[in-house]
Amino acid sequence: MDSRWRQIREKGGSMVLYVERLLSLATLLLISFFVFWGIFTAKRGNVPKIRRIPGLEAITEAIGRATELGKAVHFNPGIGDLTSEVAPQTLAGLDILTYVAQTCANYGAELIVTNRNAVVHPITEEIVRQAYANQGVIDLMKPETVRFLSDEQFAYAASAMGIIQRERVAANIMIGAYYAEALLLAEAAAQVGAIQIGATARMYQLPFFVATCDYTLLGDEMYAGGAAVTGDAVRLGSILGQDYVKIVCIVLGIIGALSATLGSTWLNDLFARFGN
Amino acid sequence: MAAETKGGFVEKLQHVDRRILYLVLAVLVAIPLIWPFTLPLQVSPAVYSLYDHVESLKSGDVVLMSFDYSAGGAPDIHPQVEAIVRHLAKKDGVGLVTVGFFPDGPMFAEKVFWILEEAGKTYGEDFVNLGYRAGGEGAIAMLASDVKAAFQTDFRGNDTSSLPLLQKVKSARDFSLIIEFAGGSPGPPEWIRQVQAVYRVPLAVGISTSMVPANMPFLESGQLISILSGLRGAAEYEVLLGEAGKGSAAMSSQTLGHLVIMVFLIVGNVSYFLTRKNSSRRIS
Amino acid sequence: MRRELPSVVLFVVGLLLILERFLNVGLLAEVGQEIRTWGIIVAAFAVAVASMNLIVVHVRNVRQHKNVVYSLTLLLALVGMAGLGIATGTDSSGYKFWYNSLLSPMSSAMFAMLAFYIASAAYRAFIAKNAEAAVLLISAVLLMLGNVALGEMIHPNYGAVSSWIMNVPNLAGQRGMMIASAIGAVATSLRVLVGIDRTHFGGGE
Repeated sequence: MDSRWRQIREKGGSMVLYVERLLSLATLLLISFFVFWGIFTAKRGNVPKIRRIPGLEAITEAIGRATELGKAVHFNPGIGDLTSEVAPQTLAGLDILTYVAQTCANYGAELIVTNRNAVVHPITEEIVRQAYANQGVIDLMKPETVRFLSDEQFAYAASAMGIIQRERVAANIMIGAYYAEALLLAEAAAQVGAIQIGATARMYQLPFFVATCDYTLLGDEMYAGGAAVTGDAVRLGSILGQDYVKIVCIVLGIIGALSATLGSTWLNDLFARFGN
Repeated sequence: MAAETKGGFVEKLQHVDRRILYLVLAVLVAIPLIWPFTLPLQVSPAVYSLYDHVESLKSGDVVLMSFDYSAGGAPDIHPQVEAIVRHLAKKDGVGLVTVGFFPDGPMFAEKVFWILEEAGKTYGEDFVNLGYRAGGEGAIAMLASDVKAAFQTDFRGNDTSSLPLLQKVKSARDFSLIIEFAGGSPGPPEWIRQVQAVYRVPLAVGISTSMVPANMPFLESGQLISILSGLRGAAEYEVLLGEAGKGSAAMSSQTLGHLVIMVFLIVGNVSYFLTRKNSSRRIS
Repeated sequence: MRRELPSVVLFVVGLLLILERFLNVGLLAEVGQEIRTWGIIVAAFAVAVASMNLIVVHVRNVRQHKNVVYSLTLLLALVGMAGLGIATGTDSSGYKFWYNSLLSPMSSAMFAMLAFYIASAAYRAFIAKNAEAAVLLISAVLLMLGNVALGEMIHPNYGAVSSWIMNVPNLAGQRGMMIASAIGAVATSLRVLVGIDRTHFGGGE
């Protein structure tokens, strides 16, 4: 059987569908089905409720604290881009930025957004500009409000740390894809006594956020962030769909674990063969 | 008064000025660099696995190494590279092709070629530096499907179709072993998706210590044959090689650094519990 | 039209790339590769646009006598390295000299700061105030011992302890989070692809 699959793979050109990616395609279709079903259900009025996420609720508190102290709020949508696998994390960060910018404009708090990625920079500029315009305070926006610092990771980190410490920001909100500079930024803000909210789905950096931030959103909670702060029915419906997919994954995990315990690895072999 | 003073001192232990912590850490990390000493080290099964794979390479085999880290990650990852290249230098007839998907990558490759030249190997015949290609995962996929189409010239400006070593390889399938050194993204998941899953070539990674927990699932599932973890991975490989190098030298510093952190953790926790006990005693 | 046209382009490009992943059609592979190449070109131009913001901010600083030394240094470095790279190429000896003398050691120094910062962060945060924090503290200490030679000094087979922590509870947690994050990422991408989510157009839907 193995040699047959090898022949099919090597033939390549005569098969239109990549057989070894069938399960990946099925997974994508499954997720799409549940997500759109969830959105459809929510649009028809059946809006799901999600649990409290303390980190998201703390954003308003953090901005309020900054306003009272007369200090700035620092926001960073991660250092990821919009084209790689971390793009959804950057989008989640931009989602929250919309809310942060609106709240800052509403409260009159100074906002500083720093960017490492050049493609993300004009988008953050536009988000902040629109938020300020919607609140009627467009004149509060300066070139220093949204800054591109550097495309080089540690040059960005050094610059952002400098801004955080010179401005002595009262709140530091970091939501997006982070690499090694996460701890540098978080610790710099901790040293000036800022309240910190961190979120990333890059598991390498989550432990550093947990150690340094007052509130941390773990992985999936970041994607729920936009829905949670806006209460938008479409996004909430999408989260419901995601939860159903997780149930399917849990069931498969239990079946796989039981089979493996009983000495059969059929599920593992199936995914190894068709799940590339 | 004595109790208050004691309580005050104990409470102060919870809030030691971080500059004192940094100073103690810096001094203790520097000591082994000035007065080197080695400590015993157990080699992990993952490092044994890579060592055995390299040891089993035969004349005519070609290894691909990808340098996907920048200057920031180099202190943690580059010692692994040196250890493995020293091993490869001892293997007669085994070729090495290097590539980078971080802009700095090819420069780090050039920095280790002296080891191969010292072993009598020649550029173009025994080792080649393809250089850097932008595009992350897409570029990895391109390299994997057709090496010479993805890199028409190498890092030194040579036409890749004229290099003898590259006549032996067309796609990723022609490599006997692929080792990726990663400090970020693109990293192991990208190589697994685009290369290991498609071409089934043995893939090992050398990564910084903080990346190890998140990549353990790939080692457990067999998609990776080995993970080298930061300086410790380099030190373990050097133990197997029987040659001390930068990894072993730095392990002593890293050991003392960890010791400092653990001592301060214990001090902070002891102080916290004693302070809590004192305040509950004062209340009662 | 300002929002509809980009949405249509996004949908078509996204669909092509998804189809390329699953269908073994030569034309799709070529189109996909071309799209990725154009993505790199767009990103390169975006760097130029963002650099303008950088120059505007720092020229303003110089005019207003605010952090003049730092801003002037940045502007000189920006123009100098960009000019050198364009004029002589990034594999020239001059470019490599400045890279190896300045950028490389400074990046390494910033990375080294992580060691000090994790020390102060751990000292501040790893207090066993409750059961979860105690578990975090104990596993952190056990893993630290396993990462260096201290573990072996305690017992030759100490590696089994840190291996167990990495291979059982850590692996289970990582796998769960990996799956959940992946599902979230796919759902976010689907919403963007079909135009339900338009944050990337700059504000709202």
